[in-house]
Order: sequence, then C-alpha cells, then structure tokens
Amino acid sequence: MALPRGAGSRMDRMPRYVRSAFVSVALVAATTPGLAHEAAGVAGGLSSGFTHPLFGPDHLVAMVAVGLWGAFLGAPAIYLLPVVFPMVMAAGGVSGIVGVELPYVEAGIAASGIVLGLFVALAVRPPLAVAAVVVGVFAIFHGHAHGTELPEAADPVSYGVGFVVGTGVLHLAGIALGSLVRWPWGRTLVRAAGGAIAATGLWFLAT
Amino acid sequence: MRREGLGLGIVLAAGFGAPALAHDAVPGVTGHASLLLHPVFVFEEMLVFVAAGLMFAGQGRAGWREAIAALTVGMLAGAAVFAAEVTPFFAWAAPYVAGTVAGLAVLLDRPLPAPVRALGFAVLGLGAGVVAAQEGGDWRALAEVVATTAITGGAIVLAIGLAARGIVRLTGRIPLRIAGSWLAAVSLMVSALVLKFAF
Repeated sequence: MALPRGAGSRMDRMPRYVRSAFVSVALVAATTPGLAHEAAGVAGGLSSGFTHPLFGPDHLVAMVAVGLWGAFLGAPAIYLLPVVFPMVMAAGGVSGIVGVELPYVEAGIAASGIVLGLFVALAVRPPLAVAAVVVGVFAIFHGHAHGTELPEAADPVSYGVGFVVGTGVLHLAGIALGSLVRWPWGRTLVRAAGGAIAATGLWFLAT
Repeated sequence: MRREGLGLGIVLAAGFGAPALAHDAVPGVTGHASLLLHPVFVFEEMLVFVAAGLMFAGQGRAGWREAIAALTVGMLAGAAVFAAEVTPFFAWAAPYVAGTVAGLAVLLDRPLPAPVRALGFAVLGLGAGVVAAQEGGDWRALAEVVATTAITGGAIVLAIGLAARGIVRLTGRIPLRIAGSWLAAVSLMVSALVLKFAF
C-alpha cells in the first residue's frame, strides 16, 4: 500500500530520541498489565511500585517536568537528566532504607514541581551541570520518600523495579510532550505545561 | 539484523502475551515446566539475567565465551554454597550488587577490562545460583533446578541481549544507557535493603 506523499519523510526527519520516546511510550501502553492478586507477591509489589509515581500527583508532576525540561534543553540534557534522576533517586532511596533522617521531604517534593515547572515556563537554560545538580537535589527527596516505604512493601524488589520503571515512563511522557518545542505552537504549549506544573507544586506546598 | 529482530520479537511477544502471574499462581504447571519457568517468575533471578543480557548488549561480542563460562561457574558456585549451608550473607546481596555494577557499566557505556567483566558475570551467576538452589532438595533435585535455571536464564540473556542490540541499531545507544541507569537504580536500592536485613 502506498504511503501518502511525505508521510515517511516526516517520520525520517524526527530526531532519533523523539522516535525512541514515542516507541517506548507506545510499547509500555500496548503491553498487557499485571493482573495477579492485589498488593500481594511479585505482581502486587510491581503493580504498587509502578502505580505509586503515576497515581501520586506530587511525584507525577515533578517527574514529567524532568522529561519536559530535558526535552526543552535538548541534547544531551534530554537523556542526561532522566538518567541522573533515577540514579540520585536510588541514592536518596538508600538513605531512606537505612533510616537517615531527611528534613522537609514533602516540601522538597512539592518544591521540585514548582522549580522545575517554573524553569520550563520561563524557558530557563542553565549550563548542563547546573541542570543536573538541580534535578539531582530534588531526586534525593523523591528517593528518600520511596526508600522509607520500600521495606514495608509486599515485595520490595518488585516494588523497586515498578517505581523506577514508572518514574522512567513519566520521564518519557515528559520528553514526548517536550518534543513539541520544535514548533512555535508546541513551544507555547510546553511552557504552559510548565506553568501548570509549577502551580500544581505550589498547591501541594500550600495544602 | 535477523537475530536482533528475533530477540526483539521474543521480548515483544512476551509483553503482548499472558499477564504477569504471581510466583505460586501458575495453574497446572508442575515438574520440569515449573522449574523452567522459575527464572521468569522469581524477580531476583530475572534481574540477574536481564542484567547479564544488557551487559552482553553493552559490552559487544568481545569475550562472550569467557562471560558465559563465568556466569555458569558463578551459578554452580552459588548453588554449591547454598547446598553446603555455608551461604555467607553477601551471597544474598550478590545479585543486586552485581546488578548495580552491571547497570553502571551499561550506563557509562565503556568496555570493561576482561577480568572485571568476567568477575561481574560470575557474581551475577552466584546470585542466580543461590536463589535457584532454594528450590532444590537432595543433590539430584539441586542439579535439576540449576540446569533448568541455566536453560531459561540463557534464553532470557539471549533474548534481552539481542533485543537490546536491535534497539541500539534502530535508535542508538541512549535507550540502552537509560535501561542501565534503571537497572543500577533498582539494584542499588535492593542491595541496601538486603544488607540492612542481613545486619
């Protein structure tokens, strides 16, 4: 079957990372969900871990913001920030597991939404190292919150796998949305999304 | 390219196939089939074999024979120490510590020196052997569970390795490095958890 004129070439013009993001999100969306017992065993742990960042709006907005900002900044931030976040989040998770006290965890999580959202909304473009440090600092708060919950999970290993993959999926969603900056209307949309994330973070901080 | 396509196909077929079932909830599956499915349903083993598959994809073909040998020897050693009831506490943490190192190696995308690579695969195998041996009883049952774990584990390593190489050819090395960061993140946290409980 013949493709419409230009259909293939439009896809070809897309950067590889944009195609990767779309393919990854499509694959995750297309796979069959775990249907085993609720919150029990491997499937329960995996399911609770995966859905924790998805259904926890404070985590959700921050993690989408990481992908969004990465896409906004372009390569190499587009893949560096989503790599820095889970690694530093894991270090924060270890601190939570071993019982290190970290003050203002919830405030830090809310602040992550505000700051990252504002950076996107205001089109802030710091040097790559500064962006990585900003994302890393906030990842510690998210990781610590997860780490304190991990020992109580039904299956800690699968819970850990679930929430790291859930976090990654949110980053990919942010990257996919952020990739719209290539068009003028998309740039406006992405900055508006950043503003909405900042407002959501502010609401979390206030409540 | 055909082999990478095969690996990608296997992983996709697994994703589109049956839903995830709990470890003890595979209706009607017993005996050899149950043992063969063990690495698929036991997360600790799956983590080890996924890590090994990503390592194969990231490190290229150099030294793959030594890597397979190290993985196998590690598995046998893990099963042996468990059977001898001398399992040191670090054996329980071994798959996660090795998973962290493997994830970082994939993330950094640098070829490891051959001895380090072999040691990494051996420690991954050690972890898989210790976990698998828990299903064994006498020496015969132990041999059976180790053999079936090796067969299924080998298939997982091959499928993940070929799928990852296929994705690298299609999209570049970035998705592989991101997968490495996820693997390292999960393994690091679970290492901390295991070591916390051990002490």
